[in-house]
Amino acid sequence: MSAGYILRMIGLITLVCPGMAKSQTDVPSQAIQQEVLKTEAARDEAMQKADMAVLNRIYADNVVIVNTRGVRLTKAQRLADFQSGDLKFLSFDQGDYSFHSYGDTVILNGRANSAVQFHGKINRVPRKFTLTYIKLNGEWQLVAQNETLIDQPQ
Amino acid sequence: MTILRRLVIWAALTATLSGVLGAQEQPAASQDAEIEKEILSIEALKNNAMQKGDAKVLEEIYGDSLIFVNARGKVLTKKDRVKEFVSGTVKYNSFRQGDYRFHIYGNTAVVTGVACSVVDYHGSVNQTPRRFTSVYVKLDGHWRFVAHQATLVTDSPPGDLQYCNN
Repeated sequence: MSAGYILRMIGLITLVCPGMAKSQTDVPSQAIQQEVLKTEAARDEAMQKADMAVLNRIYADNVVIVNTRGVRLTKAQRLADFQSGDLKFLSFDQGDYSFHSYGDTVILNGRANSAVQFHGKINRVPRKFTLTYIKLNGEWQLVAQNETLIDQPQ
Repeated sequence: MTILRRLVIWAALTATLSGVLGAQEQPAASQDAEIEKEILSIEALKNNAMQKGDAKVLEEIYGDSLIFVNARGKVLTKKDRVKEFVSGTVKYNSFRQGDYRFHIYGNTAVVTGVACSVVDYHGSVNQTPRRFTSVYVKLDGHWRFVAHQATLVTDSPPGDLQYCNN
């Protein structure tokens, strides 16, 4: 058996088993960053328009959301907030993103300065957020979201 | 076909199969239960180390690129967070954390829970419960704590903080 044959087989194994080749480096490629940002942009637009079809596609079925009040929400609860109008954006400003990736999992941190009306109360305090996106069935889906007000008094 | 060539092909097929199985989004319930148990034991080690300021254990559990957002919305790295314990700027007057819920996606586990510990943080004492989300990822065969964010609970539905009140 030639060395070339063994190398070709190793290449084949690496190609067909992405888990084995999973990089331990955590900075995602530009392509992955762009894919996730594209999904995030679609979600941001859908949140402003209360586009349930898009939100339903991006939020994973088992997404877990911790909002700025420390309440844990399911997908159904979050979608209901948008559908009912209990959650509305008066202005939208989100960015300052940083990425970490582990295979098909991307951790996206950022800052939101949007003015949000939530169940009748308006919040203009900037928030830090952590979003966890995972590629499921070939699509990036949001599986976890946690938001925290910045510099709130303790 | 030589034995060596057969072995290489067998290894490739086995690896392919394990790759396909590993890529499934939700392992069987029993596998999830095993993962939950494993992560809970790591959480217990981490919680113990946080109370003792045991930097060695924390460095082992924290992923190198840990991103940690505390209840004030401040973003900390692994180095920042470990330093807080070593310097004593984070101290626990009491420790209570639980009400865990798990969502497992292959080599990634999302854990939510509540912390009702009383914590002295940079000289100010916080007794307000915090809801948190932690993400563990299996790297080199070990579950590592790679992301965490905590949020003060300021509006809890009835029964939501039962864990802290018991």
